Amino acid sequence: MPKNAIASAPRCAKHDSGKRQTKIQSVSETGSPRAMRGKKAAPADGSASGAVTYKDAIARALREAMEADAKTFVLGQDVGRFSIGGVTKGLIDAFGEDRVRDCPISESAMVGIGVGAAMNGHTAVIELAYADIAAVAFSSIVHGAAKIRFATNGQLRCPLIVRAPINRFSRHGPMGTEVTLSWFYNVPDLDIAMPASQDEAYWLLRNAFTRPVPTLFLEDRSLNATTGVIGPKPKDATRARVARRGADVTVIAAGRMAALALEAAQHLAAGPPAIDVNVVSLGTVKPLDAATILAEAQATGRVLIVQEEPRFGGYGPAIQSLLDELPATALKRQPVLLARADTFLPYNREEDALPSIDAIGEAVRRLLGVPRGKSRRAP
Amino acid sequence: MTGPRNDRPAGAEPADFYRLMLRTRLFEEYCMRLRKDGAVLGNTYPCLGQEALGAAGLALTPGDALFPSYRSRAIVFGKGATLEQHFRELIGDPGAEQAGREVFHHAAFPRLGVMPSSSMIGGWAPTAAGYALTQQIERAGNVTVCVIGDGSFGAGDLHETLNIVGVWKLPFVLMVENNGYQVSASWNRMRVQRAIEPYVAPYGFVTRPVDGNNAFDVFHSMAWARAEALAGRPAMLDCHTYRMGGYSSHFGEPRTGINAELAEWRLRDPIDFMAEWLERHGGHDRKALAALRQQEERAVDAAWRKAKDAADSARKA
Repeated sequence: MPKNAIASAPRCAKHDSGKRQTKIQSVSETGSPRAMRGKKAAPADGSASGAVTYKDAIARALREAMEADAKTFVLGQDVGRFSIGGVTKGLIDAFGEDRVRDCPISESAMVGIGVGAAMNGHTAVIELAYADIAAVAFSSIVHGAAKIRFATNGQLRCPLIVRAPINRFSRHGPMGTEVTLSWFYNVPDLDIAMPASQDEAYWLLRNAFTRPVPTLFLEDRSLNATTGVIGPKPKDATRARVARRGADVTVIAAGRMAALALEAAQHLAAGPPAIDVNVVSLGTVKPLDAATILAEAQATGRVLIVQEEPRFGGYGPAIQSLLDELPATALKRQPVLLARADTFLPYNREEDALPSIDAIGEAVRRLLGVPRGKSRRAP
Repeated sequence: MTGPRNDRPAGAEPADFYRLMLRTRLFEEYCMRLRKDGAVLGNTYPCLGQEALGAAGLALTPGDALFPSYRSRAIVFGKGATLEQHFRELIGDPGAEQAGREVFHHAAFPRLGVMPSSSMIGGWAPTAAGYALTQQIERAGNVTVCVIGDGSFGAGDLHETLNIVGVWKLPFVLMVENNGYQVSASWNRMRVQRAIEPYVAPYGFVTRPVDGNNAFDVFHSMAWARAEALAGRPAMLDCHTYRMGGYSSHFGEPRTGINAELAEWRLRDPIDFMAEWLERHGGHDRKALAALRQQEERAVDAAWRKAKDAADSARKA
């Protein structure tokens, strides 16, 4: 029995539905994001001036990386003339058919092709239709992409990028809405990114091109229309960031859960009683930024970790095991993991299985031992 | 028209074919002894009887990439890897190129264009296709050779790859070590056709059956396949051969009822075939052939000692 208290995932309120997710604001250190959809992109140097959507941030990072290095190309189904996900739109006109390639339904081969290309110094960006499909490319990702550097003692490197969008609230049911982080979490030499904001999405994708190992890029489509600012180039894009400073409790999450945590923090700050939440957005979930996690956990002494997957894998248990290493007096309370119940995601009422803004708020209050507040609806 | 098969290859020395095959067989036998004596821990996958396939390596250029199977020692030697390099990988020497991280039959020598092999049978073919794709994008004038056993035809990834290679017309050569067995199981229990052509041609490959025990045919066929692949016609060589030994040093001979086959294929031994040719047409008498054998025996033994000394002194240091 783990020593950490188990917080079961409560049913979320009805309003925490897919439609509402488009209102989620970005997790960003650069200030409060402006809700401007479709605003013109910020200058190419990445310095902040305009708000962009999450999807545009990914598209921009991809385009700029391809402009910067001719030895980069995109593989996927319907990524060319018809850009099914929209992220690759226009790339075929800019870079030609050699570098933007529509593939047959052969995901395992697509990833394997990227591995072989990496052996000859090229970086492939593989677009999977959605993250669940990573299952059929598992061998190519694990035995191929991840192991090459290790097996050849660094003679060969594999800076391959697999974009595996999480199809949250797309009504694709149990085979089309999964978070696949934990499937890959124990694979060494595989970076995994789960951007929560436009800034994270842009800089984590740019950074992936510089890595000697492959990156599994788990963008979340339910964040696609959210807007925010791409900040200046961080010293190290893979470090976790404090998306909101707060003194009472530290909430650690990645991707959509980090975006939700930030929104929950805003409600909790309004009280009563007002609770000041420290939100850590991981961005890179593998390798974990242990230094930031430990520092921010101790800064408040109370930790809530939120993840969309069940509690038997993923960054939640990994962070709990990190915190277990702290001296017994380092934290005021045992860390709590808010996770999904051990179930698949249904076609209908998908949101019921997932941690919600209300559930995060409730878990924070329980951590602090304050009375259960009324369900707080966003304006 | 698929060009010559048995002619003496222009620009190549037949005695080199003989030496390459001898070296391969002596190396494989040496490794089996080392394993039996406990001098090394790793298992090997001998290519006994399939040594003529090494001539394919001699038909490639340094810029061509080779993705070997785990039973492709002859071709890897043909591409330029040395005995000592192999022994160091077999030992798992921390100073070797793989530093003891990967089994020796997967070892890569990228500077020679020798890429890693994999345990994922058929699952490695896309990797070779990816390398070929970059050669096509770079208009490099080079090809990628992907070597597989005929047992790989059960693997889905291989079929995904062949389809893509055909559609994209990659500079890709599929070389099939068609020895008719998947560990213990004969081909007719694993697929309907012995020949590979019916499986591959519909994907858009030009194909050629090859006498895999005739080094000249292998050499000419690879030269042909290389030219075809560079001209936008991915090529497949169906190299008919036979495994004259066990599957690996893990266990004894897994096949049963093969005595007649062994006797038949012993008459087609690729090294004997080349010795006979050298005697008849190549100006080598028996004494000269014996001298070549002795040279290769010494080379294998010297390479092992050198590799072992290097590993021992690294361990002491």
